[in-house]
Amino acid sequence: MIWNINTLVPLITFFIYAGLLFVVFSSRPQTASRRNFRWFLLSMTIYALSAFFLVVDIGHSLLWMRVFASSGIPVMISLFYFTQTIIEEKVIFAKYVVYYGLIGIILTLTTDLVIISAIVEQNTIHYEFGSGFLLISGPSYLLVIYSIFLLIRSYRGSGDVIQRNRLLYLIIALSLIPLISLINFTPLGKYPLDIAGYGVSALLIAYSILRYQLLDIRIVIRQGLLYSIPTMIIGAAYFLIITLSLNIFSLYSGVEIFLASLLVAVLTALVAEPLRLKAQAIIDRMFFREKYDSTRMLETLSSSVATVLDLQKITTMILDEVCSTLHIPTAAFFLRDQETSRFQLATQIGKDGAQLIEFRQGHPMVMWLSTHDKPLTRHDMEVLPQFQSLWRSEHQDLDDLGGELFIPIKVHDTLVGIFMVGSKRSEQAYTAEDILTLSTVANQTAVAIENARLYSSEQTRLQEMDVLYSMARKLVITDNLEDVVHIVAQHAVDSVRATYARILIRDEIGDYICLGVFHQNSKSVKCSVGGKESLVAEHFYNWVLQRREAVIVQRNDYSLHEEELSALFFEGAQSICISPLTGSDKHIGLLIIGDDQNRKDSFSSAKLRLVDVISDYATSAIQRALLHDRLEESFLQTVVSLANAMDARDSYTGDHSARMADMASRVGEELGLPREDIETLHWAAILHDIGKIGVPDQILNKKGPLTKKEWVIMKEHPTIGAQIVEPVKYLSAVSPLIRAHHEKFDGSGYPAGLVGEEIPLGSRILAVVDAYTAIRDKRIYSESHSHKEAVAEIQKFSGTQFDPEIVDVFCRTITG
Amino acid sequence: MSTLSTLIKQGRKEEIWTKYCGFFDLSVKEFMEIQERLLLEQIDVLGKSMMGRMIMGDVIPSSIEEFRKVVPLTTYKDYVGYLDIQREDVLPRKPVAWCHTSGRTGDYKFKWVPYTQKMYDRLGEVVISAMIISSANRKGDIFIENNDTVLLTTAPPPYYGAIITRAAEAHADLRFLPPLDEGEKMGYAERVQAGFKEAMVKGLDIFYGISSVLVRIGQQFEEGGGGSIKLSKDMLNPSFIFRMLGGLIKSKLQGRPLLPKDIWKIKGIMTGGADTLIYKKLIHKYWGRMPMEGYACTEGGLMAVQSWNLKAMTFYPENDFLEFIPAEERKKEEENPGYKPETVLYSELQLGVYEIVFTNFHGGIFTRYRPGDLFEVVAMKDEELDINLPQMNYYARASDVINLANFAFLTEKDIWLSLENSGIEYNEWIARKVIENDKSYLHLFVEVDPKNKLDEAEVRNMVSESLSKINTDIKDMKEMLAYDPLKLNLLNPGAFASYMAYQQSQGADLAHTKPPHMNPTIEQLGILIKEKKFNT
Repeated sequence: MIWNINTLVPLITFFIYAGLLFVVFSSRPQTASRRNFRWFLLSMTIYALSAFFLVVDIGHSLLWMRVFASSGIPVMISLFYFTQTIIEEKVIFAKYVVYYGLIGIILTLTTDLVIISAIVEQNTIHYEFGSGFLLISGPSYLLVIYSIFLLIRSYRGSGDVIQRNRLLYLIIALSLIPLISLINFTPLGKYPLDIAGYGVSALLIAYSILRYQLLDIRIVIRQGLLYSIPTMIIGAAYFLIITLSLNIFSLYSGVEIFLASLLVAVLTALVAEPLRLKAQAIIDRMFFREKYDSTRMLETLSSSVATVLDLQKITTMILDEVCSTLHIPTAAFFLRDQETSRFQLATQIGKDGAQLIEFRQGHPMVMWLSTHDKPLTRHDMEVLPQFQSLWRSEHQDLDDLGGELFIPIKVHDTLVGIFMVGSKRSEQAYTAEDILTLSTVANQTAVAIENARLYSSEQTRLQEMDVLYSMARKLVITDNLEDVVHIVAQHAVDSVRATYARILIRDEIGDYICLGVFHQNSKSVKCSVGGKESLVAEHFYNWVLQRREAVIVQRNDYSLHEEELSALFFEGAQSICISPLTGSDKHIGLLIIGDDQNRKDSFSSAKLRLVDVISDYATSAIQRALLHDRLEESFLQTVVSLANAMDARDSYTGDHSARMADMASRVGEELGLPREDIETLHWAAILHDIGKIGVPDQILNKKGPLTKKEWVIMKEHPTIGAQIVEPVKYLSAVSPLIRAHHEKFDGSGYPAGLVGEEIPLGSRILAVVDAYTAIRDKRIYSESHSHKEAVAEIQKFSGTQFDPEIVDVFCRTITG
Repeated sequence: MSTLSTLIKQGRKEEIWTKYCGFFDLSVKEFMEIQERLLLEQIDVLGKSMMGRMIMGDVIPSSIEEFRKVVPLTTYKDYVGYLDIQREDVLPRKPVAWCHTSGRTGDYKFKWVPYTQKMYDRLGEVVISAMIISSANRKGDIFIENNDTVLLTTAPPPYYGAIITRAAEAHADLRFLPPLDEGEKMGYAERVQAGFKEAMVKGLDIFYGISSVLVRIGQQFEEGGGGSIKLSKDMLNPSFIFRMLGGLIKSKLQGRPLLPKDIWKIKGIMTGGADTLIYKKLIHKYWGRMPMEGYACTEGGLMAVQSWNLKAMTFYPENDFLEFIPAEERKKEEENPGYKPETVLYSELQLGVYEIVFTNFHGGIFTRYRPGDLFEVVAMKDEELDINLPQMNYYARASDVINLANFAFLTEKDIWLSLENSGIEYNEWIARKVIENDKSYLHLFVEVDPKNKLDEAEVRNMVSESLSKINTDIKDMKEMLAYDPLKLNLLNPGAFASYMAYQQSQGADLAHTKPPHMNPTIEQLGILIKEKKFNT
């Protein structure tokens, strides 16, 4: 037996296949892909062994040639099945391929259809293909080509960098097989190049399926190029110089050739190193441009951030640099709030709708980053059991943020911030070098960011103090509930930069009444002041009061039903903050702040803190205003009681004032007066004679005509009445009506002698109604008259004593 | 979202283990941190719902301590009015599925349970987790692959079993045999038969369901029935041929009948219930793998699984908030039904028997709920596997424990094992507690195999002897109190078959065609014993 390339290659590859078969057989677990790969290796072992037996010419050359040729069919078929398990796709015709394989092997082994003859001479095989070669062997090549197609398709569809790398290995390995097979149709076919090529292919496949972490194929190619390009250039140069030397100098003696070779070797050695370095630089730029850019970015950042104190500027600068260098569309900084220890979104680029998200102190991510010095990936969060405790809303926040990598920012081993980056534009995973670069950015800029954050925090505090100071100054000078509500609501909207604010009060029976609304855009709002909130909203408000802290509700809150959302939100509002107004352990109501902006969370913890303080101020001011209102109400009741007492004291029938109020209101309605004016008219009718409190009984109930002196006293009662009700805020509009209710249309009335429309409309109505009631009532000095008589009397004085228009309306309205 | 399929495809076995079985590596502190966070989320969600507020009352708790203090323990009675009519508007989150119990349901025909999307997803994850553990031999073993085949033995929707199957299917690339849409339309026997038929071609990787199915199939093979498969075109399938040939060669080489383990190399078997203990050796003999037990209930999901050494169960931290009522507290409650028992937390467990109380996470409705199951803490950690969490075994249903004068406590497992160990061939049995002359007795009704020639007294003596060995308290009772607490009667042959036929004729649901082993009602007993007259 002669040992040469033709005999050694099949023998070596046989051992490679057998070794691989053993490794794959004993590896655990035995996955479907490994099982299929075993069949491939078994077929290749037979393939290499039969090739060896063939070339060493142990006899039966035709048989070994046919075994050699037939083993190629299961090789291809097993690769076909192997590919399907790798890409996890079942090809429809897969189950028939086995039958093809069995028939193909039998026909190859037992007939002349594939191999007609095979002779071995001096370890070289001479063979002749049969007429059925293409028909029988051809489909197996098609199967491999189809498998390559499937792998390429899967490669293009995969976004996972590890899987893509693995598929690339397999594509190269499988592509080698049909390419190398073509050699058999060339003069080189007599050499075992195909067997050697298949061996390389098998090694690549084995490597790709037995290991999880594969070498980056780009690095493999790069290293190959790094060694081969300079070698090729140097080799070519060497060959060129020698050839030139020989030709130019026609040197034929051994000494000259030796000297020329030595010279070339020295020259080559001198230029080889620079050449290698140059080649490496070119290749590095081709394959690792990002690394080059990253180094430049780090240099830029480390020199510029140290001198900046503006937090927004510093963080934006870092994000811009990082995003443009590493081609990242989204990135953000979360910085720790000193008071709440929450990590709040400080700066973000690439996502507008996810502002003001924050991570609480107990958030699993914060806890993990606090105890680890390495970045956390979103994938880690899906895998590590500690992250099973994430709330659904926290999952949603993370989804909205689109963060892929979370890098701790630490100062003196304390977590002060989180640097978040989203997926790369290329959708490829972050490499170890990328992560190292980002971690370096976080470490280098940590102190500068923390300093800027402390500075910014102080600035914000000053602004908050300013808002609170302004509000407190305004609240202290008013006891008017309406003013208090307006001041609080307006400051709440301004300080939180929200859209609207409402203040609700909880009455004795537990209903929530809207006290006031301030809307930034003065839009019409569905909450009518003084209106009662719906039952659905009430349930929710009660729950907020129980929690004793502000609650933020998003429009898209999954836990609330549509009915609740519609009851809680104004049209257009995207999020609301409901803050309880609690004073001395008593819940008095709620401050509700709404935001129309489509932001994930409009209420950061800093804003919530501000809302808490505003709520405290509001509680105190509202309580004070309510107390004031109650005092006024009490006063009003006293006044009404006095009026009733006056009715009783006067010679009118008992319900004189009440009947007057009813009639005056009806006339007002007929005249189309606004609701508030009718209300005023009603009160004016009730209280019109309250000033008679200052008129002695003997004058008031005198049967005969009054003396001049007595008339003077009597004529004072409208003025006294007006003065009594004037300080009562609710009755401030009533006072002028009382004062003028004895004025006459022609100017002959008292106390001011007003004429025509100088007399307030309400007073003109009261005058008619008062006269009608007086005529109808039985008095000390006169009997009661019928409706008809009373109307006739009224009409008689129309235009002189009474406003004719009012008289007309009165006569139309009051029908007896 | 990294699904199992993607992770398998990428070969990220370590991550698969961490994701699905990483909870075994948690400390009790970490376990409780997860519990506390998710409970606070649940309180928040409950507080916004009408039913949640109804259960929790006026004060919304803000901590675990407050929660345990202000929220009362509940049973299904507290929910039945809303859940029976499937009122969704009062629930904390809109459910994606409603399912009902398939086991014993006490006073209710069914217990209806709403599943939110997150609960459903989580159920899928834990079923996969259980599959991984059932197929593992050591920590980190991932033998589950995409397109693994699973025998479909679960009942159709809305039974809980169907929800488990659907959730698992949604979470992983599994092939159910027969496919779900087809299998759910079939009857139970037809479904199992069709599944095994398909498994002959496609293989069988995972089984979960009732142990007796596996034993019955194994027995059929052992008796030669497994090989007598009807002719079909599937037999021409190369997979079928190779599988059968391989199986026959293996069995012939070992000189024994063809068994399922020769045909299928099953990766994992998951079962639950008292019969697993009885059948696990047989399952191993027939199928070549020991079954892994888990604890699941419709209201709480799959809550605990055995670790891969199959010695004891560990609870999952992220499905339900766990509390436990110690035995002393249960005793106080038994003595005084108005007593409100105190609970201990998972971190406060000691060795002993506890009744479980749980609160659903992820928007579920069951809050401080008592499913009526007892667990025994058998170890505070598993040193062999380096698991630092309490190790527990299912003990019994609280209502199934037969208390004999506070001297001996008998569970379904005790009685079943006694019958198994007695050597008597029997078909089925039931047990009740009776009191005669102020003495408590265990009254056992057994339907023995017709080929059994033993009379009633002989059977009683054999079972009594076996029972004394299983439960030493019974032995002590005999010796110290001088009376044997066992009464035993033989049932007519076919009594259980008649019972099932009668129940089916009455339109009973699948879940109620068999009488319970422990403490059946007088009515159930009446149907079973028919003309026979026993003193019950």
